[in-house]
Amino acid sequence: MLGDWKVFVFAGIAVYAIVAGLIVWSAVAYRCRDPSIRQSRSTVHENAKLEITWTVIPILIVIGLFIKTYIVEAKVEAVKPHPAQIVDVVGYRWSWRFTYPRNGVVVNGTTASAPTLVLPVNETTRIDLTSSDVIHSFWVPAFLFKRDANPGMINVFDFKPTRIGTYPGSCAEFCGTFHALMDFKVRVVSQADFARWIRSQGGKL
Amino acid sequence: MKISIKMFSFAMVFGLVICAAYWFDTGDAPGTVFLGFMAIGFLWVVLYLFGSRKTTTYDGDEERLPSELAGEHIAVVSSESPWPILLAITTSAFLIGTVLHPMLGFFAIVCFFIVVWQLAREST
Amino acid sequence: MNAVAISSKQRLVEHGIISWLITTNHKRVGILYMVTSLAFFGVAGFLADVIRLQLVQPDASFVSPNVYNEVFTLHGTAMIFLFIAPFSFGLANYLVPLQIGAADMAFPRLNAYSYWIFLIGGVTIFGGLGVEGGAGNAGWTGYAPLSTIQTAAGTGMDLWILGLILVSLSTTLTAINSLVTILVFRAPGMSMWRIPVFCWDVLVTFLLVLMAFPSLFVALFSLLLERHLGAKLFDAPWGGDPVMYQHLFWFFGHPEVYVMILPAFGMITEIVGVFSRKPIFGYSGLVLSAFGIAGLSMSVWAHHMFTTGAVNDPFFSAMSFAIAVPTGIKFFNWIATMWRGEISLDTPMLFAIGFMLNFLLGGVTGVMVASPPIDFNVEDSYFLVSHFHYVLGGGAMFAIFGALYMWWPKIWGVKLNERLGKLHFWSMMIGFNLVFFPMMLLGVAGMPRRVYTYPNLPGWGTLNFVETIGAAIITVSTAVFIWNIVMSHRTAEAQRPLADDPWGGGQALEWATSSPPPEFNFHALPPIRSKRPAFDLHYPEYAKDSPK
Repeated sequence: MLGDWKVFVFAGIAVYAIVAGLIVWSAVAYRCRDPSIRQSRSTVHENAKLEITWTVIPILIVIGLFIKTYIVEAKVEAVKPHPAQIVDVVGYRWSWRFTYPRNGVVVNGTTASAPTLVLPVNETTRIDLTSSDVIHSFWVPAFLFKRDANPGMINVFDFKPTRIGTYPGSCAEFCGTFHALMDFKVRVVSQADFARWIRSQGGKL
Repeated sequence: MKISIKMFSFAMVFGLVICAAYWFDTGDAPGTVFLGFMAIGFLWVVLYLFGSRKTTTYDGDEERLPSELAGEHIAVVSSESPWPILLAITTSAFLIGTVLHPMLGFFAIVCFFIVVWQLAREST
Repeated sequence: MNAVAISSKQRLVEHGIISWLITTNHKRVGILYMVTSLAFFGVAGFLADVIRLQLVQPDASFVSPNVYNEVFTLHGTAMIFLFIAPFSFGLANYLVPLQIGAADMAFPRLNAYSYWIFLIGGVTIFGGLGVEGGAGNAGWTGYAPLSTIQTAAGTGMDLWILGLILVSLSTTLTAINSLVTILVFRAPGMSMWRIPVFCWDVLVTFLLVLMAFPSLFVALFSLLLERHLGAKLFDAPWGGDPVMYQHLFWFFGHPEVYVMILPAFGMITEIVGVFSRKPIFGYSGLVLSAFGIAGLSMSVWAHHMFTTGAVNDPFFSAMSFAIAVPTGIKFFNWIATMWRGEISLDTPMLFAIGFMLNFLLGGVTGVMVASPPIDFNVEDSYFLVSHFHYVLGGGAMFAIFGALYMWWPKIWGVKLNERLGKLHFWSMMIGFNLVFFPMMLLGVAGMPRRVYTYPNLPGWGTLNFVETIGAAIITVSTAVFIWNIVMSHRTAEAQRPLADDPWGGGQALEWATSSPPPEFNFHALPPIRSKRPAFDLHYPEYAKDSPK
């Protein structure tokens, strides 16, 4: 996904530089030297070849960007059929609850005390996400991913974290007074540490 | 004009009947409200068309074919009229009153129809 | 000449405030729209300053969370529904009959009515500030179930909904009025293929309005039904579907952003043509791309819903990429108009160039968020806030300022001061970019939108502080603009009578009548034989070069 991001940033900067360059160049190079001139010498107002070119080239560019997008999105959306872990995430006003159904562990968050989602590294964890009141959104910037928590719907996706560490997460769908405080943390730990943590929460593996 | 009045009057009556039937059959408030609004909308059009009918005839009118009468309703081009702002106030009071303040809404509906009538009379 | 004595009552009716209350003349209604929308711009701008003061540092308590939520809701609602769109409609009201050679709009009383319900609707939205529970506070998008769960102390939310219904009704009626005017009331010689590009952009805008606004009416009425009559449309435990609100809203919402930008494109086209002293390049391309934008804009709405997990992302992604193409065509046509022209960098042209540079950046970030994998990260973050402010603020707002400077002499018979105008432009350009460029970095760093505070992470406080400085500069810049108006009107008598064509290069018909125009627009219409009839009238030696 980072690759997708880099391609777009590069393409964006290139397009901006070229078009902005043309704009600024024409504004400077074709400045009127004599204010009494009423009409420029060039009065060309159409050029079929030019107009077709600047239609076709952008079409080709966006087709390329779309193909890249499609490939990357397919990978992001894919959900593995046999995940190593499952976590049920429920958003509510204004915190999160993480339930590990296979392990009998529940982490309850409050607005004052943000909950931590503990995940094992190099293993696939499936998230089943929903809300118990209004629409929220589960966003982990380090994973370049968010998904809305809709009441009455379960959104399913998975993560396979590759780096141990603690990463911030926030709610990304405006949900009322304390939306700004609806944060959480994601802690990626080694598989041994994960097992230890489960047992420390009174769960079983 | 006569045909337009007939068309919209029929639509309004139909809307009212269906609205009543819907309420008595389902008791569903949202749907009834929508149908009611629709019927009132038709009533608005009928009032306007009725009010802007020509009530005086001019020499030469009889010689015009029915097909030529299609464009006979030509709006007045004036630079000033008090009815737009008055209609705006009553429309707003009608909408806000219906939801938030029933007495205001009822009063506004009455004013609303009076103003539509006056607007129509100005167009003859 | 004998002055005829008239009673003070007569004076009030003919020239005073009563004459403004009962006017149906399109020029006066247009002025009412533009003045009112600029007043709402001032209020919305003040609200933006409140937002920036609250966010100047982490954990500030300039305003409480609830008040903050009302502030950003009203800021967005006012900027979109009460400033950009109505200003464009007001300018269209003023210009379209002039540009096509008509005496007024097709339905003058309907025109006036549309203005008054717009004003009442706008006041109603803000009326929520005076009721218990405060104004609407569910964002300018009013998502259900957030907007439907608070009924008890929620009169403010109802006023928000009702005010918006009135404003939407106003827009829909203006659309009907303008479409009939353009299609039926053109002067002899003014074929559809000769009307100015601004009129084409306005025409397409109003077609979009007719297609999109019904969806907004349904969405808003549905909220009322849910809040007051026990409908369970969006209530999941009862089988309702909260995502459906988003479909209804965005089916309107996406065309709405093109409703806001298309008239701006038209303004830019007119400005670039006049100030490059060249015929406009690629008239057909500009017209066809407007239709392309409109058609595509009806099919991209769910790109606002990529993260819901409930829509077919690839379809909407493809359509969203596609819409970049006709927009690009417009850019290239503007550049080609400037190319080998004789460019005069007066204030309107500076704002047009600023528009192009800002909107380009907004457009590029738009193409980025059209890609769902990117959108999954930056949706509802400050990256998105940056994107839409670049296109609407750096875009439409700059176009509106450019248009104000360009057409001010025509409307009031007074030219605004050039030096103050340039100061306004440069301060606005600097201030604007200081506010919205850092937001891209904050968004990528993980700062969500619609938050009254943020954690004290490295760099976040500094970037927010810089943005607040930028907001202060924008505020000062706007004050310069107001000062310009005051100063220029003080010297008005020295400028009068102003020429029909004070810029010396006007192309469309409004420059072929006096500044300001007489009551019914033209004492005598010039012959219309090309796409720039006013230029042909004033400079017949160049008529052979006019695109026919």
